[in-house]
Amino acid sequence: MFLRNRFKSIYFYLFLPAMVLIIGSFFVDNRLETIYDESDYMVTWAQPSSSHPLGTDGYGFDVLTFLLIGIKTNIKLFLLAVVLFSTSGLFMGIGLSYMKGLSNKIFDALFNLINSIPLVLLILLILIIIEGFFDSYDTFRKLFLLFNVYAVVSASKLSIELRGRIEETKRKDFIESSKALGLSPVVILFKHIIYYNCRKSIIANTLHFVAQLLFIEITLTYLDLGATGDVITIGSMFKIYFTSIDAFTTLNHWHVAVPSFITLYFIFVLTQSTKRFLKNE
Amino acid sequence: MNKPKQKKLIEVSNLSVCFDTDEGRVQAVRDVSFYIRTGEIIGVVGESGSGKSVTTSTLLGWVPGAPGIVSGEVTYYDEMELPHELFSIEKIDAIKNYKKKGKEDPIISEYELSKRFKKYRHDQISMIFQEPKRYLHPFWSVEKHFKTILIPLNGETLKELATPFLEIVGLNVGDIWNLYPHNLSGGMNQRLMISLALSRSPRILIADEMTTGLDVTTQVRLAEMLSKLIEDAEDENRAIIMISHDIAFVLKIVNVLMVMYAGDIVEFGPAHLFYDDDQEDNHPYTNALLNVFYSETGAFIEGDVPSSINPPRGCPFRERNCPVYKANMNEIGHLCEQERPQKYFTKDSQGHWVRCHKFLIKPWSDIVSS
Amino acid sequence: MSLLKINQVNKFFFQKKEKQHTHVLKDISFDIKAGEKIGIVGESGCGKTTLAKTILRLHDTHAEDSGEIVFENLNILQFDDKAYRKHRPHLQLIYQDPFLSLNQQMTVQKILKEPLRLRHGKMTEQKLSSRIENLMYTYRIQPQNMSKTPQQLSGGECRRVGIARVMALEPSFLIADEPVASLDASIKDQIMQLLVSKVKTLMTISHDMRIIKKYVDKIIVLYSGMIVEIVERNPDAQSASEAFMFNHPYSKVLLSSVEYFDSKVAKQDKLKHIQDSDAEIKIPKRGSEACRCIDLCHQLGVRSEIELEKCDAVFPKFSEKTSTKKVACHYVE
Repeated sequence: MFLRNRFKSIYFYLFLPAMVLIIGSFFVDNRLETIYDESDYMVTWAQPSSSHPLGTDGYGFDVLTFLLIGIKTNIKLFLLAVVLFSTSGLFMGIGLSYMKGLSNKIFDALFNLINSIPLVLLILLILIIIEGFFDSYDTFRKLFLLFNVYAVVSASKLSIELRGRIEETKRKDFIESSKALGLSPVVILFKHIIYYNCRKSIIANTLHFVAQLLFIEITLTYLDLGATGDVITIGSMFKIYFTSIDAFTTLNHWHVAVPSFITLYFIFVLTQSTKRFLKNE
Repeated sequence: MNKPKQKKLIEVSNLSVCFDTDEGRVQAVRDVSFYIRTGEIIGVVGESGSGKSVTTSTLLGWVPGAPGIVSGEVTYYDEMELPHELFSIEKIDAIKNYKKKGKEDPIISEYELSKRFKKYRHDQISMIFQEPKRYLHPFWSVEKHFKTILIPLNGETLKELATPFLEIVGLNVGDIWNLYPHNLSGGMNQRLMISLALSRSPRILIADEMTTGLDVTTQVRLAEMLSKLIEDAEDENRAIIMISHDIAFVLKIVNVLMVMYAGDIVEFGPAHLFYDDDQEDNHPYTNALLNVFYSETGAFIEGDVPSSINPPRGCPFRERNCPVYKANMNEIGHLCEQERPQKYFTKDSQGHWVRCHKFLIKPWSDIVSS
Repeated sequence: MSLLKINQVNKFFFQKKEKQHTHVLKDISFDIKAGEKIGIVGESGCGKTTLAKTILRLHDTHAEDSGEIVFENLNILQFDDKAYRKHRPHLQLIYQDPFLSLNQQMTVQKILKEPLRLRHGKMTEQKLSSRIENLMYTYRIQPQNMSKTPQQLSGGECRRVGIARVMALEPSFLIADEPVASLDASIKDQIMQLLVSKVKTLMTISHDMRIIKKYVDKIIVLYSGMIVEIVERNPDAQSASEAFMFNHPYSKVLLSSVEYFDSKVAKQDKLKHIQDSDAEIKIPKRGSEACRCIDLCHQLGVRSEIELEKCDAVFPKFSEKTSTKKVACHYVE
C-alpha cells in the first residue's frame, strides 16, 4: 500500500534517479587505476555518447563510473556515522531527560558550548586531533574516523532537542493514562514518547546531518585535507574537475556541471524527504 | 414597573451559511429567520452541531470558512430604530456547486465582512465564549485586558473606569487587578470575560455555552448574576442571547426560547409557554429535550444529530425516532419525508411558532392560528 | 465483603514554585463493597481527582503520605512502582478529558489494541480483530471510526473510546472522573447508563449532583480535601428527592444548586444558601488540625463564632451513630 501511493506521488519520480544511482554504485568495480596528477594531463574530454552516458574525462575515464565509485565510497564513509548520529542522539536525549539537578545543567552547558563552535573550526579541530594516529596515505580510515567522531559530537545537538520533546511529552495526560493501564515504563518511553512523538524529529535531523556530511566531505577534499590518493569520492570529482583549467575554458561545461548537479540533486532529495516527513504533523 | 416598549434590535432573514471541509460542504445554517427585540433574553438550545454557534457568530461577522454566508439579510436597528443593513445576499445556488479539490472564495470576503462589522463588534454586539481560560490571553493580567478595551478620559484611571463593570459581575477589583487568568478559578474567569464584554455597554450580548465545564454551583451563581443583570438591563434597551445545550439552565433565565436542530430553527417563542404541562403544541424535538432533563430515571435521545453534509430531505427530525412521525405515518408521513415544514403559529400566539407538519392534522390543527 | 478499603489516607503535595507543602487529602476513610456504585461529589479543587489518582498510585509519593488502601486484602500502598504494576489492570481510571488522555497520533484501532495485548498476551490477528470489533460494538463506537485519530472524533465518541480502552482490561474496580461533563445533556444519560451496566464496581466522580443521584448507591461529599459526609441511598424512598438525605451544611448547598435547575417552576426565589463568594477553595497548610469548612460555615451563617472556635482546634471525626449516615461535623448529628 505504501508503494502504491508512491507511484502516484511526484516524489517517487524525483527520487528515482537517486535510488538508481545508489543501487548502481554497488555493482561498480572499484578500480580507477591511474592516480590523478595535474602534470600528467591529456585532453580527452568527450561528450556523452552511447557507451559513455556521461562522457569521459581528461583521462578518458567514464564519468558515470567515476560518479558511481564516488557514491559508493561516500556511502561507506557515511553509513556508520549516520547510524551513530541518530542512535547516540536518541540515547543521549533520553539520558538527559532523566538526569536531574546539577548534572543536567553541566551537560546542558557542555553541549551548548560544543554546538556553538563554528562547523569549519570544529571539523579542523577534530582533524588535528586524529591526524597523529594515521599515516599520510591512510585517508580512508582517517576520514571514516573523522565522520564518526563528528557524528557523536553533533548528536549532542539532537539530544538537546530530543530532551525537550521528551520532557514536554512526558507531562501530557496520555502518558499518565498509559501508566495507569499498566504498561511498563520502557514501553511507554519507546513507543509513546519516542516512536509517536519524536521520530519525525530524529528523522529530520538525521537527513540534515547527511547533507552536512556531504558538504563537509566535498569541502575537505577540495582543500586537499580529505580524500587523496586512491580514495575516490564525490569531493574528488569536484577537486579534479574544477581545478583543471581546461574544464572551464573548454566548451565542455558538462564536466563541471556533473558533480555540481549531482550534489545539488542529492541535497534536494534529502531536503524534500525531510519536508515530506514533517508534512504530516 | 412600567415596562418600556420593546424596540427591534436585530432582524435576520433567510440566512444560510455553509463551509467546506475535507468531507464535503457543511450546511451549518439553513434558511433561518428570526428577530430580536430589546429586553429579551433569548435562549438558543439544541445539541452540538445544530448550528447554534454559527448562527450567532454571523451576527458578529464571523464565518467558519468559505463560502460562508450564502444567502440572507441581517439588519441591525439602532436606538432610533433606524435600520442598518449589515449584509444582504440573494440566494445563490452555491449549495450545489462543490468542487472537490478547488476551494471557492467566500461570497463576501473576510476583509469586507470585517470592515462592515467593525463598527458593531464589541460596541453594539459583544460575545462571551465557552472556556474562559482559552479565550483570555494567558500572559495578560486583568489590568492589561481592560487596557486593550477601555480608554480612560478626563482624568480617570483605568481602574476607576473598570470598577463598575467588575462589580456587576461580583468581582473585587482590589483582589484581582494584577492577577492572571491562571490564578483565577474557572468561574471567576468567566465572570471576567462577561465583564470585559460588558465594558463597552453593548446592546446585544451573546453568551456561547458559557457555563459548560463549570461546576454546578458556579453555574448557579452565574445564572443569578445574569438574571440580575437582565433585570437592570430592561431599562437600557439591551438583549442577551444565551446559547446552551443545557435547556434546564437556560429556562431559568430566558424569556424567549429558540430551539435549533440540524441548522434550522424548529421552534421559537416565549419561554414560559414551555413550562406548560400541555406540551402538545411544542415541537417533538423540544419535548424530547425537556424530557431528558426532567426525567428522574435518566433519559436520552436515541441516535445522532444528522450530518450537515448531506442533510436529509424533508424534516430532519424524522430520522431520530420522531414520535409524531411514527404515530401519524398515514396522514403526514409523506410530508415529513419530502417537505420542510413551514412555520405554524400557535393560538395563544405571542409569537410562538413551530415547524412541524403535525399542525395539519387534528387535534393540532385546532391549536394553530390561521 | 469489601473490595476496596481506604483507611485514614493523607496525601501531601509539594509545589515547587511556591516551595510549599500542601495537605491535599486529610483522613480519608471509606469502604467499597463489590458490586457497589458510589459517587464522589464536590466542587472543582476539592481533591476528587487527586483522590482518584492517589487510589491508583498515579501521583508521586510524598514523605509524609500515610494511610492504607487495601484492595482484595492487599495493601497496595506498600508496593513500589515495579511490583505494583501487575495489579494495575484491576484498578482503572477513566479520565476527565478524553482527548488529552489518548495519544493523538494513534488510530482508534491501535488505541484499543494496546490494552487487549496487555490483557490477553499474544493472540492471532483474527482473534485480535474480533475482540476489537466486540469492544466497538459493546461500547457503541461506530466501525467507520476505526482508522480515525481521537481529534477527528466527536466528544461523545472519544469518550466511548476512552471507556472501551479501559474496559478492555476487564478491571474489577473502575473510577470514572467526570465521565459526562461537557457532553451534550442529551447524551449524558446514555453514557452513564452504558457505564453503570458494564462495570460491576464503579466509583463516579462529579461536581454534578444530578447525575450522581441517579446512578449511585452511596454518595461521598468532599470539600477541600476532607470527607464531610457519606450518605447511602434510602431504599424506602418514594421519590427521587428523598433518595438521599443530607445533613451537613455543605452537602445542602450542593443539593440546592441541583434543585435550582430541577424545578419546573419558571423563576424560583433567589437561593439563600449560596453566597456570591470566591469559589476558590483554599487548602490549609500542613499541620493544621482545623476543620476545613470553617470559612464556609461562617459565610453560610450556620455556626456562631464560639462554635467555630472548636472547629478551628479539633478536626471532626465521623459520628458513628448510624451506619447509613456519616457526617464529619461537631454540630451535626
